[in-house]
Amino acid sequence: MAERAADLFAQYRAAFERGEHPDPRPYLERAGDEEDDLRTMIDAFLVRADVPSPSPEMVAVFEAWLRNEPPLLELRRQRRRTRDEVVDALVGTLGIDRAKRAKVAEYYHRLEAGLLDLRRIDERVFSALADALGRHPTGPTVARLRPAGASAYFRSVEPGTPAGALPPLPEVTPEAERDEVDELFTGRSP
Amino acid sequence: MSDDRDPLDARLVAEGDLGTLFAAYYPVVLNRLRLRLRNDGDAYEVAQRVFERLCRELMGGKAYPVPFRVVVHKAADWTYKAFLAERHREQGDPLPDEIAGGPDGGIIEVEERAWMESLFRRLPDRERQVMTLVHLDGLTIEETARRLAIERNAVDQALHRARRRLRELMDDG
Repeated sequence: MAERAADLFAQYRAAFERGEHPDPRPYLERAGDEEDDLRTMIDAFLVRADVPSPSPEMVAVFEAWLRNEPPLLELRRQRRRTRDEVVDALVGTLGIDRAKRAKVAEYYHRLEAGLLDLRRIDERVFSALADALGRHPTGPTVARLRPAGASAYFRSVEPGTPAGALPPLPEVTPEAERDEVDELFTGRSP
Repeated sequence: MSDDRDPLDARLVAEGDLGTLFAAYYPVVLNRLRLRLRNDGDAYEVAQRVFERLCRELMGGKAYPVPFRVVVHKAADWTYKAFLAERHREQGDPLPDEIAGGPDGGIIEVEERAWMESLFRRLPDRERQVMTLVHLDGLTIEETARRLAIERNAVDQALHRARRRLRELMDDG
């Protein structure tokens, strides 16, 4: 009997039923050699579970996404933060030299517009962004949702796709001059 | 049960309220993908593609023969398989068995599943649970017994009763 998996599944289910939409990975990590059992249980549960009504903020974010507007911009508006405030918060939380603020601002602009490969962004940026926009389940999710229109652009510059109708976005920094800011926003292996 | 939500989803689709519909299902789809993909960025990427696909289909006027919850989870499964196939092709690796069947061949499977779910809903609770886990989720008898915290023998008996009852129901039309 997979008792550890059953216990962790009960915890996961209780968290879901409280409306938390829990990330299942920390539960899998605790399951040890019963990880596969737990994965099957959670997956079957999520397929059948009653889906709770979303928050008005989350609905507004997806309505923006459907209008091809940046979801992150919509979230920032909902939280009443200016772009400068978010950029300042990122610079502070990530411990970046203030002299490099303009570069952070350029990267944030690209992130908000959905023009960065999210898989190459360091987790610390998303964590700092969640702090900047207020810790709330919507924040980290929306930070990684590209506007629907941006996806066409993004795929046009992915390797293996035909030469695109749109040119590649210029690099923020020439290769020889890359620093820790470039690494944070574009340095992670996808 | 999730099918309690089907009328609400159908109304949201009919009214074109895709913002509410997608906002409700996005976290669930994302967490299902996190179960399978170790890299969180990959899970977000696949979730993005799932909802772009649904957006294209719904805005293009596509009508689904099954409830939206079935469509959204099936779209997640297909998109996940397509993503893995893309990764394996890029790396020149052979496709694993899990995805070798192709990412997009399953609308019949979706319809069959919906039909079987509608049949199973006519069964008593325990029999419906057992039939669903064994015939729709593909669990073994042992796994089903563990999931429901009952003896293996009880699963066998429930399956036997359910199949007999379904035969009677189908004979009665």
